[in-house]
Amino acid sequence: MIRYLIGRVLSGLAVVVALIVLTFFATHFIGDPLNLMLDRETSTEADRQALLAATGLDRPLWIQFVEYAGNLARGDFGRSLWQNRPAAIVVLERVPATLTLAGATLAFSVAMGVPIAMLAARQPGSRFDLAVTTITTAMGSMAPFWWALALILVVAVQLRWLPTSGSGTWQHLILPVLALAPAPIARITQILRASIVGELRQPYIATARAKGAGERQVLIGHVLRNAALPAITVLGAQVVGLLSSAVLVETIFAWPGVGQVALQAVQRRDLPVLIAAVFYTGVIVAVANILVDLAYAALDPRVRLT
Amino acid sequence: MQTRRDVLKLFGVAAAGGLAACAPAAPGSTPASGVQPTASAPATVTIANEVEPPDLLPYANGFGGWLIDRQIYEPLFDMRMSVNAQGVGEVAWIPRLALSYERVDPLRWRFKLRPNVQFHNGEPFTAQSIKAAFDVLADRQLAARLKKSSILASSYAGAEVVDDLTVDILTPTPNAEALSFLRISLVALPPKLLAEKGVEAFAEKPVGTGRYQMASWSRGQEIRLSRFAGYWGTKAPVETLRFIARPDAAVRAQTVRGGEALFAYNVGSEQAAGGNALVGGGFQSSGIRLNNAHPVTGDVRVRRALNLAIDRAAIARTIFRGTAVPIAFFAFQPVKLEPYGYKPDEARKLIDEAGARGATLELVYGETRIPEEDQLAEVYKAAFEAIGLKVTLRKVEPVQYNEIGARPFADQPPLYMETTSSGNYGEVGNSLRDKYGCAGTGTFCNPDLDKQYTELAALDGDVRLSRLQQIADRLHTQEVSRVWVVAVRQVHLAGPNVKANLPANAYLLLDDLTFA
Repeated sequence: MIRYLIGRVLSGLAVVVALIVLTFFATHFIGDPLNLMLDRETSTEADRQALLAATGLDRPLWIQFVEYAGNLARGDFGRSLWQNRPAAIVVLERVPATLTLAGATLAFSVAMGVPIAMLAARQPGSRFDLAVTTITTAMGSMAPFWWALALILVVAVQLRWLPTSGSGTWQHLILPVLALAPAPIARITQILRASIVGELRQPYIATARAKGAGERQVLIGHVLRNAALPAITVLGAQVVGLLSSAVLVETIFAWPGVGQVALQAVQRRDLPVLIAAVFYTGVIVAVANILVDLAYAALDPRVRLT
Repeated sequence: MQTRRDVLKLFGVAAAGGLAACAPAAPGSTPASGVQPTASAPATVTIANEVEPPDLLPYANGFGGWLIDRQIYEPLFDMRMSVNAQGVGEVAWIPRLALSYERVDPLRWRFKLRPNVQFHNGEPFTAQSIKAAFDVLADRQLAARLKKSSILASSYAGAEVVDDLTVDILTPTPNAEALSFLRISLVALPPKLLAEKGVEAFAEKPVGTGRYQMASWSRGQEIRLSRFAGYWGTKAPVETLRFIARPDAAVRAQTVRGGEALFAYNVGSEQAAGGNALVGGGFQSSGIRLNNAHPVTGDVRVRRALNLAIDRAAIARTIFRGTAVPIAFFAFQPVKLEPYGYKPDEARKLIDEAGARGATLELVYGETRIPEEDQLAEVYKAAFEAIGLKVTLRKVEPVQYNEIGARPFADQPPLYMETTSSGNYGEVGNSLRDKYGCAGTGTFCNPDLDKQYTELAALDGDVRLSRLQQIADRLHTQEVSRVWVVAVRQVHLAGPNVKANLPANAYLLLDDLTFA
């Protein structure tokens, strides 16, 4: 187990390092941050030269990279070009908000998806099952930003039940979660339903029923545990999906998470912040994948983590 | 988007009488802001701003800072601009930290300062406070370290303290246009606190002389300012101002419709439709920069045709719902120029004469200063294709937009959509150099005109107006290196009980709003 964990951590780190290298060079090729930091209409060449020297962007790219990699190895992500604060702090202070949003969305998705999948799988082909299939297909096809705007218009503006955007109270969390949740709910429901239907056809279910187990006991006590394995795999993938979608949803709802700050960093070519965001997002994804593997092993005794 | 940097680069109506000494105001008098405390004003007013500023240091902070730091800091004067029947902006200067000013010689401006003013930390306001502010502004090294551009450092030669309440500001050359910045953008900073804390720490927790003082800043969430009890004039009408950042104009507008904010800044006419739309407190001159070095737009007949292809009145009426006005030059200038009329047939003839029929032109845009950019780009494309050209639209990010705009003329696109706040104080001296100068940010160069711009800077009064008219005529009818389209006035959305009669102004002052 420990050997497995060390391996997973190392492979996760390798992915994060590759991402950082890619981000560093890609960012330098997609635009000079000075073009945004300096006012196009009023700045002078002297301003540009002073800023180039102050930011170190006047040196060859490979020298910048070597120095930056050295600093990174010591845990120093540098200072934000825009906020003039340590980039790690700029990002880390946003991590709790993103984890809250992602965690609440996953919890809500599971809470909705599991019972719906179980109900639908009990009578495959029934009207309810068809309705679930149709609705979840539609839900999975709609982009989170569409949900976000629709929810703001209906729930916040027309009904005035919840705030349009922002953060600070639990009410602020509801609309971003509802905007992010449709796709995970749809995927969890679809995968779990198919898995339950498959499990219900297994001989051990007939045996359980023959022993006198009721439907509820069969479903919860026997089927769900086995059927949950594919759904857990999906759950791991949903973490990546959520973090991607969060970039847009956090921006629309002004949710102060990593996604929002990463988008700003891209728009402003704030490389230190962008790399810090990539690093911490990569760590979150790697940890989520390890947790999925551990859950898999806990649910299925045949799985051995070596 | 009206940014702080935009305002800094604007220059005043020196020609309109600003060179004379300003009439003194009574010490301790209330700024003529139009706002009085009301019994029913709410304790906290939430304002939805475009973006969260990276810091709250004044001067070079062009990203959402203006609306906030103008509550904390105070300038020497404020301005109120109204547009007269001839479409010319008329500016009234309202004394704030200065009571009067005079030009003691061609290179020296002398400001008499208001007595009995204190900073939020109790430090007294004196001529040293203006010098300290000026030193921060002029320190290019410091500006670079703060990752900011010290945009006006080269326009001034320094500040000298005459006595406790008198300060001189020097310019390297006679420059009447420098006055506007001195009046409205140079704010006071507390020299002792700056020395103790350093500029970078000060930028996080700023201290000024304004009606509100910094209360708290939760990054990514909100900035709170509270009423300053020691303010020298009329106290702030509300106890707490809360600023939230909502970059998307639609979301920003919805915060007001949803009852979370009382005021959403610059949402555009479409988003404000049907609500309490407040028009004014900022405007932009919008149009297209034409590349005179391009094989197609290098022909003046093509440039004239492009001007004749645009139906400015229709754009003002439809896209901007009547809040914009057609222009022929920088908006609201003291010059007489008629915008090009909508004459597509004449434009087609010119295109044929120039042999440009079927030529493909690229239109680059992506500045994000006004919410209607996408619609404008589509309209321009349709208009130019209707006269026989082919147009490809290329929307780019702001970084790329600026990068493209700064290339040598030959590498720039033929059409570059541009919205500018240049000349928003009724004076365009420096703006001419910037938009129509060989070393400016335009795609046009004529050394003879460059010389004329320099001469213009030293002139004032009727002579100056006459010279400006000559230059404007030439640029409009002979050089034609731009398609000026409309002056876009800012449109804000407010709660139902917010009242305002906003001046045209180059920037919004919350003092002009009454919250009930």
